Amino acid sequence: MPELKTTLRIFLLVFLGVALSFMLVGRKQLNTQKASAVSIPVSLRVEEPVSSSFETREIISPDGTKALILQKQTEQDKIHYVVLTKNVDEDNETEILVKDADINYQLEIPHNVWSPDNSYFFLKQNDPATEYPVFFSSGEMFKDDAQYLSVKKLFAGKYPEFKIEDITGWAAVNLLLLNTKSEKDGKVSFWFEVPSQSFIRLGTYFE
Amino acid sequence: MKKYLFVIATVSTAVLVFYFLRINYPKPLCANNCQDSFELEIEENAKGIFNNQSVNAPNIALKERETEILGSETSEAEKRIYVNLKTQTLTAYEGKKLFMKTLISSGLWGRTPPGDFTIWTRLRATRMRGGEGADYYDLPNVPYVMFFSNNKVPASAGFSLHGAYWHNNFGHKMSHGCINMRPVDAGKLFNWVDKLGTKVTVIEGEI
Repeated sequence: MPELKTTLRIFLLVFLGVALSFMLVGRKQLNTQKASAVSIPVSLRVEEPVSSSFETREIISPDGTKALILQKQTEQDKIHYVVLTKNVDEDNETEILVKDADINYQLEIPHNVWSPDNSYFFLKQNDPATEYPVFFSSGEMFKDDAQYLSVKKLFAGKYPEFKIEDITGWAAVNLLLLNTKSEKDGKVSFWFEVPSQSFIRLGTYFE
Repeated sequence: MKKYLFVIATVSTAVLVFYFLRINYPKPLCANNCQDSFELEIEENAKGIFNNQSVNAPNIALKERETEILGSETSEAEKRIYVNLKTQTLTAYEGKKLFMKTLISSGLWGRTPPGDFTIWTRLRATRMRGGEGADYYDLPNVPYVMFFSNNKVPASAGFSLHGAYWHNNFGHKMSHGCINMRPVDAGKLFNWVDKLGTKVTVIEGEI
């Protein structure tokens, strides 16, 4: 019996020693990995070219062939917006949208506005609530002669219990990616298929 | 009795070693279908499939600069590429000079491995396919592909930096492991990388 106790103690000590050594080796590897990496700059910030009364912002399509231009002219308490598209290597511009609004109205062009095939683009509009209009890049009209599709309005009609938190970009050629939230289901992502104007609920939340 | 205890101790240690190796040296998933070789593959007027949507693949016109043997022109300052998985940004430096900073899309569900890698080959375009069911994708003419590897992530795993023409959701995780870039950015980086062995560092977050 004493022999058994001694043997068990030896076994326990050996086991603990092996486990401890592995933990230390693992921690050393982690520190080595951290030490081998080099510090890198802060995350990307999109530049905002600014002039006192007239601003222009441009987003190039992912393939580099087209540009979406947002012109913003501020005069006292009014803002005048013009949205244009053009081929990068040409001078001709297509006017898509002209909007005069109060100073609180904000129109933005997020980073991923262009659909992958350059057929569509979306904007982000704040006044007073956020809206995401989708346009043909050619200026073509949607059915019923609609200049744009109102994603928020269409979504609210189908899924009133969800609130769109953000539209981050295009998951595929015709699919806008919506991040939404509801009290019951929490965070849920949807696709908005532009041609059919339908929504597809996803099993993965795309952060 | 001693023999039994010895056997138990040996088996326990072996199990411990096995799980330690599995946790610290996991077998890397393949970015696409695992394969032994990667070759230049170009098709005319090809169509791909992604998220159950058909997408027109870009036609590829090979240019002399894109096919030259790497190493024939080298700059004096070391070129390095950094990918931050937390901020989904890529930065590229030539010595201390910033060459490029842009948004990328890395792998969903932690599929892009962190670490220090080197570029072992680059292809002007190739075909990538993988996934199953609704996740199946088949993408010809994936542009500006730069494969990277290290001693833990072999070349056959197929992880690479490349252009992505099928989505525009950069700044968010989207891929099956590769680092997706806007094609215009991928082209710029591809033409800047002038030798094999250029280092790529992938980190999980800020240091």
